[in-house]
Amino acid sequence: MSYLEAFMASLGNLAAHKLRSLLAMLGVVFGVGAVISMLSIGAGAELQAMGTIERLGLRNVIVRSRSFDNDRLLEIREHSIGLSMRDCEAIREAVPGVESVAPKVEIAPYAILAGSARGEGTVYGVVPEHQELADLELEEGRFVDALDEKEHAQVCVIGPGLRRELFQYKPALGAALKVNDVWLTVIGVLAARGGEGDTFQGVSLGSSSRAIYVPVTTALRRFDHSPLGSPLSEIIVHLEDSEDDATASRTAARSIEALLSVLHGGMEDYVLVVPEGLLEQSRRTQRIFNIVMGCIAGISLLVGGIGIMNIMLASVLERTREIGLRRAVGARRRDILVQFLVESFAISAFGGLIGVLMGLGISRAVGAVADWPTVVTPLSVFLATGVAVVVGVSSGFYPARRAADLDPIQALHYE
Amino acid sequence: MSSSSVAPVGKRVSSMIELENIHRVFSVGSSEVRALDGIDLSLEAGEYVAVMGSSGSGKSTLMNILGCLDTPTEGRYHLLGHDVPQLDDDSLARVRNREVGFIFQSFNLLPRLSALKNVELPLIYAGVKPPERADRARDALQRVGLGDRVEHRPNQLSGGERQRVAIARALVGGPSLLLADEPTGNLDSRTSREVMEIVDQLSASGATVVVVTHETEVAEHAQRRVLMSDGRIVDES
Repeated sequence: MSYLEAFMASLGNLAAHKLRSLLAMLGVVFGVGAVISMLSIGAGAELQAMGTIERLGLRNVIVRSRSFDNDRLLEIREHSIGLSMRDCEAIREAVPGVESVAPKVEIAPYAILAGSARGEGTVYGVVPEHQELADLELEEGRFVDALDEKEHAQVCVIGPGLRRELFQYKPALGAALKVNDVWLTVIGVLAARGGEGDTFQGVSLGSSSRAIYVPVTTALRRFDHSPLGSPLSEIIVHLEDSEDDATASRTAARSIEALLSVLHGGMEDYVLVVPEGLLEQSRRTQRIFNIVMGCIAGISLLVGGIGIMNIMLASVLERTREIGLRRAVGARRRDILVQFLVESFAISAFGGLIGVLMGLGISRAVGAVADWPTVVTPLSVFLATGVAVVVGVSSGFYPARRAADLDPIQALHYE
Repeated sequence: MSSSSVAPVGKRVSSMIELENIHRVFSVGSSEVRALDGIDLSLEAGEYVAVMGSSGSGKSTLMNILGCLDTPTEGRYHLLGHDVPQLDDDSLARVRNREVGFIFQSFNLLPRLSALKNVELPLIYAGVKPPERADRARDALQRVGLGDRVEHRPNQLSGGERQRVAIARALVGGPSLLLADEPTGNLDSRTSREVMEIVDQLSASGATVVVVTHETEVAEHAQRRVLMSDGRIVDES
């Protein structure tokens, strides 16, 4: 009997006991469904993390100034003034493999006004390179340029959220707005960007929707600063393209660390963020998540396997006479073994199929209800059904073995 | 059947079936039960034999051995040149498939399958391809007068019809030997006669038939009657 024929015959047999077959499949259905939906949630989270990390820039090393309470800050400021333009210069000069260094000043304004409209947002003092580094797209106008920087020009580029708030449907380009007591002319508006994650693994990404970008020199000169604050809030060090970004960014991070340690008199008033390292960390987290999910799914598949074994044992008992007859008309032990193995294969494959559909459904539902990104990868589908089939066939093995080992004479006269 | 599988073993090219000093001992707990205790029997091709005896006489055990479902504890059994006690499990299955057709008291039809599919069963294990299988099964059903019942399931058939399906199943593979174990045991006298008529016809058309029965009316159909008691042949006529 060919395998295909045995498979068709076993489908007929399963159809003859619909409820029982369904119950036998249940464990596998839930197991596979769980694996696929869990992995889809995991993959979605990973994709989101990847996107976020890519926004930080894989070829970037970011130096951020740390905040302290006032007493500690007083102490630190005796040795170090915090992140400054001097650090930028030093990194540019001394760290190999650096393409550009972009300082950033962050100011939380107390008032943003345009005519009678008020807005809320954050002022960022940036250099022209920032546009590329932060992957900012303009809806209209232009970004801060080198001339603006040189002249401490009182110009700004605003985010789409703020533009709506301040100007509604009026033209924004060329309009004036007042931040604290500094007048700025709008020279550009950013395009809206989806997926504005604000923090990732404790690293603030900053949302560009309510941002006001001004030249860094303007930010340093025209705005008031707290005397104890660090002049710069962040330095983005963009590395040259290299074969191995991971190693390059780690090496650069070490050099920057060493350099800053000297410049800041050993004060750790800054923190280094290496997106490449975050990626690594995110992958590690993902791996742990996958292992935990794998164990849970494995247990449910194991339970599914026990279910199949149970049903198959019952089926063997019930069909003892059939087995005897088949042996009498010429079936070898192997034929009987194959018959029952194919049947448990059919149960698990069918259950796996339903499980895949269920997994797709759950992953959709989670995506829709919880608003999580979910991605069903083909790998997870193959993995889940593959494991289910292996579990099914191996748990069918013992019952099938028992069927094959029945004595044909006793089986024929089994009541 | 391939010619090599029927090649005679040894010097004696002889009867179709040769039993020589067959013993079959079952161990039940610590005691031994001698189901067969020295059986000598030879059958020529085309013979029609009835094996009689009370229950416990060993006639079912003899039939199991003749049908290669069981092997003797001791003794020689040649079936068409096969040295049966020497065969392994798979070879026994092949011999059952090619050379033996079983007819059981309780029919042993698979309830989920149509008459046609039931009859096809031995052909499946003989490796016959589906279209040919259906043709041959239909022919076999025609021979037992059930040409118009092929798609019926066992529960849609009468007792006599069921046994005729079972006979069709026994003969579909073209076996050398038909073994019937109390073929009329579950049938009333009228359908018993119908069924035995078919067996007679098969015998008349050249089949070798062994019927195990305790009913004399059934045994009278045979040319030769063997009476068993306590695992021995006590009388032949």
